[in-house]
Amino acid sequence: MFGAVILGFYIVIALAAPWITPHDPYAQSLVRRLRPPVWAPNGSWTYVLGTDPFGRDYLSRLIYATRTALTVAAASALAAGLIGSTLGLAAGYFRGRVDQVISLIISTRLAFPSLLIALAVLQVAGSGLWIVVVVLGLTLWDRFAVVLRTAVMQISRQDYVLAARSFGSSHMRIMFKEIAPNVFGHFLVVFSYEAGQAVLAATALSFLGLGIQAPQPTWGLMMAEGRNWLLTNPWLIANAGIALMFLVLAMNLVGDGLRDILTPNEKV
Amino acid sequence: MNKLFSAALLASTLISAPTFAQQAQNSLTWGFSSEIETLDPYVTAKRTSQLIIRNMLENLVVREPATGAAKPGLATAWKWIDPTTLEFTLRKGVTFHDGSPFTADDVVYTVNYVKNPDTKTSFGKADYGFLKSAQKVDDFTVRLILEAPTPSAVDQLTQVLFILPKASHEKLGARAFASAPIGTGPMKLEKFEPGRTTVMVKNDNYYAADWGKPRLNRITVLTIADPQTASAELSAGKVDLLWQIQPDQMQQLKQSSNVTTASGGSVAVSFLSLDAAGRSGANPLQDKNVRLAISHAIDREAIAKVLRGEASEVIVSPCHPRQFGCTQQVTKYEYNLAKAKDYMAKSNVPKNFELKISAFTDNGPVAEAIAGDLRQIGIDAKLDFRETSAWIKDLFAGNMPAAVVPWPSNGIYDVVAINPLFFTGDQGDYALDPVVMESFKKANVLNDPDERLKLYRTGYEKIANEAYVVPLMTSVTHYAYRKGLDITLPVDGYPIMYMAGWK
Amino acid sequence: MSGLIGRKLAEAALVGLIVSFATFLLVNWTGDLAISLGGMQASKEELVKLRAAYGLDRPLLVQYVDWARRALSGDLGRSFFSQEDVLPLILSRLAVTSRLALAALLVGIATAAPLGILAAIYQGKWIDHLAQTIAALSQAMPSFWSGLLLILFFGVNLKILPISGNDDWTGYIMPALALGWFVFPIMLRLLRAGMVEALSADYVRTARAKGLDPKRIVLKHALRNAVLPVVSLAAVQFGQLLGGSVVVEAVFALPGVGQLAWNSIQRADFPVVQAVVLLVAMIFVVVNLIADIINGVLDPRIRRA
Repeated sequence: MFGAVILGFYIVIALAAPWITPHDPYAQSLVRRLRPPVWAPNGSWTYVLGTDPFGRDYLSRLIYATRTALTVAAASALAAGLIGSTLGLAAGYFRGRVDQVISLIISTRLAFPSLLIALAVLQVAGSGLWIVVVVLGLTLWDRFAVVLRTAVMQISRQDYVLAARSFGSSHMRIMFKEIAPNVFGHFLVVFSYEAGQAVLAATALSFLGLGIQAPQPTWGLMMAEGRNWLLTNPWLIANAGIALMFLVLAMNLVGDGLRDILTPNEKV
Repeated sequence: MNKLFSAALLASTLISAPTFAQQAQNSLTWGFSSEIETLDPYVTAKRTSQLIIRNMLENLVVREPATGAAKPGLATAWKWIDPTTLEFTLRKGVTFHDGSPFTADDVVYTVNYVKNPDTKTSFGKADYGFLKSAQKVDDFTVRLILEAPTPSAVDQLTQVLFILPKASHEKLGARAFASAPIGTGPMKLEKFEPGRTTVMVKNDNYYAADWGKPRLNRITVLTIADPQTASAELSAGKVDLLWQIQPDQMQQLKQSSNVTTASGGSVAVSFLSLDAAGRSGANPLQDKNVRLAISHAIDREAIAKVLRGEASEVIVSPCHPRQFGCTQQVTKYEYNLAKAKDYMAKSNVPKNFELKISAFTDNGPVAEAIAGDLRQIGIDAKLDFRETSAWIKDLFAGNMPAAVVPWPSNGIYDVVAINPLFFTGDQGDYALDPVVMESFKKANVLNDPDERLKLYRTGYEKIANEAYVVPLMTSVTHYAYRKGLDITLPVDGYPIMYMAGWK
Repeated sequence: MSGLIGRKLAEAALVGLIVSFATFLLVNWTGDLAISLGGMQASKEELVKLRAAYGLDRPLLVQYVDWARRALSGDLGRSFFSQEDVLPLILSRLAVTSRLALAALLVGIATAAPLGILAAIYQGKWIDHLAQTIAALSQAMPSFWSGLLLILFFGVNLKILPISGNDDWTGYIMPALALGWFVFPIMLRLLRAGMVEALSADYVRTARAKGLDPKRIVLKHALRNAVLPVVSLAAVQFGQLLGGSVVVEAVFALPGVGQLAWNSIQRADFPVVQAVVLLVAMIFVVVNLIADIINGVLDPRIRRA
C-alpha cells in the first residue's frame, strides 16, 4: 500500500514534469554552477536543491529524471517480460524437447556475466536510452522465464486446460486464452521487481560512464557526476540517490504486495 | 547524513601533521588512474606507461622538467653533421642493471630493433618515423641517420628511443623483457603485477647524472581507477602523489591540511572537430554559417577555466601556442550569442537539428558543456560518450559529425606533432581542404624556419576563416601530493619521478 | 545421481560453447585491437600490419575455431597487451574476486539468517516488518553509493579500514560489506519464506504436538528444509558476483576479475575477455552442479527421484 502510494507519487511527478519544474532542466550556466541547496549556508529559494556542475537547476533535473527512470524501468521490464514469458510459457506448456532447449537457453543466460556483456554491447552500440532498454531487456528476462515456466507447468495440468485440449483447441489459443490470463499475476510480480532492478542496473552503467547520455537528466548520471563533490557538496549525490532509492523501494514493496495478493503460494 | 559528511570533512581537514611511514622510509607511492599492462616501451603507445618505464630505461637525452630543454642523458653531447645526421657522444662508465657496460652497440641494437618490421610496434611511424638507421662510429660515438630533415629530432629523442641492453634483450626476448626490464635508469624493477602495481628500488650503481642522484629509495606505482577513492587514499596517507586530477577534485583536496595542490603545464590542446567535409554523410555542419554560429556560441573562456582549470588558456588555432608554427594571428570568434543566432538564421539548416558530440574520458564534461551552449542557438546537441578505443576507431572511420579532440602532441614543441593527422588528408581530417593540406604537407618536411612559418600561417588562416574546427583550450596538468614532497612540475605535464625526493 | 551429473556436464559443455562463441562475436564487433594498441598515433598501414601480425585479418569463424581448438587443449592464449599467458593472469585475479564473492555471501547469509528466522517465527510482528524494510531498503541502494559511504566513514573518518587495494584481508571488509548488502535482501526473503512454509508443514506440527522443544523444532527440522533453496541461491549468487563485481572493484581499486574484464573490453584484448567470460560461466555451471548435489544429499526426496 505504502509502496503503491510512493510509486503513484513518482508517476504523477513524471507526468506533471513540464508544469512543476521551476527552471529549464537543460539551461546551463557555468557561472552559477554548484550552488548549494536552500537549507545550506548561501542557499537560495531560486534553486531549491542548488545547481549541478554545469549550473543547471538540480530540482528540475531531478524531476525530469523521474521520467527517464520510469521509462527505463517500464520499458526494460516489459522487454525482458516479453522475452522471458514467451520462453517460460512455451517451456511450461510444451515440455519435453522444447523445455530442454529453453532450459538450456536459460542456463546459458544465467551463466553469462550479464554486466560484462552489457558493457561490451554498449561499447559497440553506442549509448542512449533505447539502447539501454534493449540491453537490460536482454539481460533481465531470466526470472520471468523461470517463474512462468513453473507456474504454467502447474496450470496446464488443471482440468480446464486438459478440457480445452481435448476439444481440439489450437496450442496458440490454449496458451493465450486459457493459460496466459492465469499466470498474469506471476508476470506482474516479477515485473515490479525487475523494474526496480532495471533502474539500479542503469545507474551502475552510468557510474561506469556508459548508458544514457548527458545532457538527458538521469539519477544515475547525477550521482556519477556528484561523487566528485562527496565531501564538499554531498547533496549532489545524496538527493539523486534518495530519489532513486525510494523509487526502487516502492517498486519492491509493490512487488511484495502483489505477491501476497496474486500469488500467495509463491516463495520469492 | 549531513552530520556524517561534515564529520568526515572535518576529520580530513584537521589531521594533525602525522609522521607518514612513506616519508620516513624515503619511499613514494604514486596513485595512477590508468593500468600499466606492460613495461616494454615498444609495445605500449601510452605515454602514461612510458612514464613509469622511464625510471628504469633511459633515453639519449633528458627533457629538463623546469625548462623543457634537452639535457644530456645517456649521451653527453650531440651535434648535427648534416640536416639528416645527428652524432651523439655517449656517456662512459655506465652499466645496465645486470652489470653489463653501456656502449654504442646498445644504441645501434635498439634502433635496429625498433626499425625491424617484425617488431610488433603499433606506433612506429608516429614515434620513430623520423629515424632511418644508426651507425657506430666508435664504442662511445654513434650517428643517427634521419629519414628527412627533422629540426625537432633532439627534442623528440627526449621522449622516444629507450635504450635496450643488446646482450640481455637478445637473450631474454621481448616477451620476458617486458615484465623484467633491464636498463641503465636510476631505478630498478623490484615487483611488477600488470594492471595493479609496479615497485621500483634505487639503483645504487647509478652514474653521476647531470641532474643529480636519485634520492628516493623506492617508488611504488599503484593503480586506483576511481578518482574519489584515489583522493581518499591521498588524504588517508597510503598514496603520496596524484597526477592528472580534475580541477574539481583539486578544490576538494585543497582542504586537506597535509596535501599540496599545484597546476603545471602541458603541451596538450583540445579542439572541437566539425564534419565540414561531410565524411559522416550530408550534414548541417557543411554549411559555413552553421560552423560560424557554433564558433560564436561556445563560451570557451568559461569552459576552459571551469573544466580544465584556471591556468587553461583559450586557443585560436588548433595547436599549442608554445609549438613552433602555431600562429595565433588568425580570425578570432568571440563568445557572442547574438552573432551566433544571426549566422544560424542565415543558414538553410532545419531548426533544432540534432548534433552528437563525441568524447571520451575527461573530455566528456567539455562536450556536455558545449552541448549546453549549442542548445541556446537552437541546436539539439547531445553528448556521445565513448570508451577510448571505440572513440578513436569511429573518429578515424569518418563517422563523427562533431568530436572533442584532445591532442597531447607527444609533448613535442612543433606543430608537426599535431597537424598531419587532422589537416593533411589523413584519417582524422574532417576539413579536407586542398589549400590547408598542401601548405602543411610542404611545411612539415622543410628545414627553413621562415619558409615553414609562412606556410603554416597560410594553413591556419584558412582553417580559421572557414571555421573548420573550433579551437578550444590548452590543457593543464593538476597535481596533489603530500606536503614535504620535493618535485619539479614539468612544463610538458609528464613528471619525472626519479628526480623527486622528500624535503 | 550419476545420470544427473552426466546430464549437467553435457549441459555445461553446451553452455560453454554458446557462451564462448557469443563472446567472441561480441568482442570482435566492439573493439579494434590494432587501434587500442597503437593509439591515435598509429597510421593506416601500421594498423593493417598489426591486424595481420595478430591474425585478426582472417575470417571470424576461422579465428574462433582456431581459438576453440587451442582452448580445448588448455591453451587460452596470451594477452595482446601484457603478453602474459591468460590463464595465470585470470586465475590470480579470479582469486581476488572469489574471496570477495565468498566474503560477500558470508556477510549476506550471516545477516539474513538470524533476521530471516526471527521474521518467520514472529511472522507479521514488528521484527518481521523491520527485517523486510531493511531488505527492501538495501536492495534499493546502488552499490557504488554504499561503497563510497563506507569509504568515507570507515576509511576517511574513523581510519580503521584500508580504503583500497588488497594488501591483506582487511582490504576485503568494506567491499564485502558493499556487495553483501546486495546479497542480503534476496537471501532474507528466501529464508523467511522457506521457514514460514516449513513451520506450517505437517511434520513440524506433529513434532510440536509431541511436545518437542520449540527451539529444537525450529533449528533442526524447519531450518534444515529452509536451507535447501538457500544453498541453490548461494550458488547462483556466487556465480553472478564473479561477473557482477565490476563496480565494487572499481570503487575499492581491487584488482579482481571484473576490473580485468572491463579494462580488457575497453582495449579490445580479446583473449582475456573471452577467457574471463568462459571461466566465469563455467564456474557458474560447476558451482550450481555442486549445489544440486548438496541438495540431493540433504533432501531425500531429490535423492530418490
